[in-house]
Amino acid sequence: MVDWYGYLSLILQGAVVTAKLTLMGSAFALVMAFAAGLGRLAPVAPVRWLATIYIEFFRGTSVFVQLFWVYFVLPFAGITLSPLVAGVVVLGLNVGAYGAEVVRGAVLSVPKDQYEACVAVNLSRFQRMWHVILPQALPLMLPTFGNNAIELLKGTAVVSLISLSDMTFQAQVVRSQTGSTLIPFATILVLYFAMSLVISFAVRGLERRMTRGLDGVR
Amino acid sequence: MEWDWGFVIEIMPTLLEGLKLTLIITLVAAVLAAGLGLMFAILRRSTNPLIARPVAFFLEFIRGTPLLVQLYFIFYVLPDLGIVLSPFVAGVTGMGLHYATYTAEVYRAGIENVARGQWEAARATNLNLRQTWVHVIVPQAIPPMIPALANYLIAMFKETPLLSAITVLELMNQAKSVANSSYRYIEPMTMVGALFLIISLISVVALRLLERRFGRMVK
Amino acid sequence: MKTTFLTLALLATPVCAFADKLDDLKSQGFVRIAIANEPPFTAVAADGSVSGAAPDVAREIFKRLGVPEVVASISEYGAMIPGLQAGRHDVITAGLFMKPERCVAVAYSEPVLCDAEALLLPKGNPKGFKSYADIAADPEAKIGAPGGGTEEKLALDAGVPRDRVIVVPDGQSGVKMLQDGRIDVYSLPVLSISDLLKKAEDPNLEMFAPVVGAPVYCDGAAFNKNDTALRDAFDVELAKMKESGEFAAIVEPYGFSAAAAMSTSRAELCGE
Repeated sequence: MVDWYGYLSLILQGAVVTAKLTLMGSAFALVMAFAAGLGRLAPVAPVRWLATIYIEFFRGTSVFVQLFWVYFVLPFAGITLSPLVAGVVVLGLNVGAYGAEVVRGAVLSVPKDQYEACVAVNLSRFQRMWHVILPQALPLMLPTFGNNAIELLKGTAVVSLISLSDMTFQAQVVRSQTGSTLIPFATILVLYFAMSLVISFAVRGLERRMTRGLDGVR
Repeated sequence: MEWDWGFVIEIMPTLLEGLKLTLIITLVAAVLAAGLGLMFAILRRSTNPLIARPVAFFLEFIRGTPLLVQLYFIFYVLPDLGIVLSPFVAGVTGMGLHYATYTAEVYRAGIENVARGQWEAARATNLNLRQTWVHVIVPQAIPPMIPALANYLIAMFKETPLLSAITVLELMNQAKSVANSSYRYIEPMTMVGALFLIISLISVVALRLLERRFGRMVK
Repeated sequence: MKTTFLTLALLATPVCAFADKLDDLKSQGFVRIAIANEPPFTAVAADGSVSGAAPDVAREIFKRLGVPEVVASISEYGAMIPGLQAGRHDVITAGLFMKPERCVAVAYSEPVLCDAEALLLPKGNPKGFKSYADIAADPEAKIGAPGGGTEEKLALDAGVPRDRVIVVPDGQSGVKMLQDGRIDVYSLPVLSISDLLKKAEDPNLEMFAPVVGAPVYCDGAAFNKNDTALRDAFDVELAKMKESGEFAAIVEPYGFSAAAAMSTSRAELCGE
């Protein structure tokens, strides 16, 4: 008799790894998105160049290829990242590059009079950004960030190809032990979908909280 | 391990073979995604809830789950239902379907961007639903959305390595095959990355041109 | 930017410590092995535990060397040697057969598991395949084999063109692809095909073995070229186990012939 319970727990273990990757990757992506997005708006030219190169490089290359490269080639340069860290870094850098454009777009769409008002009230660049611009730009970024987080979730499936025991990898293991393709894969499809719904609801909830009191910002 | 340029020259022909297939896959899948997406967008707007709701759910489900797993499904599970697709067809179908759910959203934005007045005018001039769509709405909805659609074309191109998981001999698979027989991963992986980057940068430039041409039309 | 980064990183790379690998493993408490999940060579159970002839032998030997645990990572055959070189694992114990070109890339132990090649075919072997050359001769025939494995190489060497040798990621996929008609034949070592046949319970499949013209291969535990001291320590324990009969006690229940492994040597198989 096939030990379905044992196999289901294997898939759930994989789900934990997937969730970990998604959370850590999203956190890292958020950091990179702000760094590069604001970097592209910086007054200092070299910073702008750096940000642009980072964004174009990671938007222009494939996650799969990057993962393989980080996993197999980077160790020769002395940098050996564990599969988990490699996954988080690559996914975070990738989604961060897309997020950077969102940050930039949202910040640019805050009306010019806000900037002028800040100058009039004698706020420094940092104070302006932190207290006035970003709070208004954030609600605009949220929906797309939500989509980016879901992209990251889906991207985690690729780490199975560098033998990281995420949900897809465990489904493959179950498949090879039981001979059934339908059940493990159908199970993980449902689990991925459930996770993406959780992200959607969380982002929508966050949006509602953030736009409280910010009447008609959009 | 040192970088070996001689090895690079040796493997380039094989890699370029893979690149050719990668480009073909991208284009065919893009056409599929563009066509299916429009169909999905129209169906989703259907006034009949028996059509609109299932389509909406289907789109959400495909968009919310990984393409890799969908490809495994199409390649390994469908044959049990009697549908055996070749790796190429399975890959193109999977990709086209997956990205059709994204293009459907793009079309939706484009369609909603068309002024209500157009719909009403079409009604007033006695055009039926099909005529309205074909002659009035679609020609106005699509052009501003072309840059967004082209963006997904580039995204599809970058996702083609996933097809190596269902045995399609595209660029990544060729590189892995070369790496497997020579035990060197450095050169193949770096060259694959470089090739992707080059093609991508060219596409980005083309995309900027498209944006300049069509982007102005978005309100 | 990438090149400057790489150069800086390379300059910062410390020199490898050769002889202390075993001490490192002992203080770490575990050794990382690469496996492929191809029973009976290597297998992963529902609870994640690793078994199979190769890991069992390795586990026993490393225990005797003072390293109690074995941590396995599943990898494609073709990725094992690059993974070893990149330091992703400490040893390959997956039935990776010894061949002269592999012997150059890694430091093999003395032979552990030996097997001949086999073909998994539709019942009745309609196309009459008996050798890789037969498959090459049929312009329509597609053969499935693991990526980077011996069977793939044998097929290519026999003249099967690259696009007719399909890289199959694992045993289950191979069986499925054969059943769906995506490939006409799937090739693995004899014991692996036997195991797949038993699990598949499909009366429409049969095995043809041994493949005509294909040699019998033996694997060994493969170590990084810098870890020869560790490899030598491994060999000492392996020889003791072969002498005492404990080696046979581990591999024979899986179907392997201990005598075959003991009758040859690394020098012979590597063509030294």
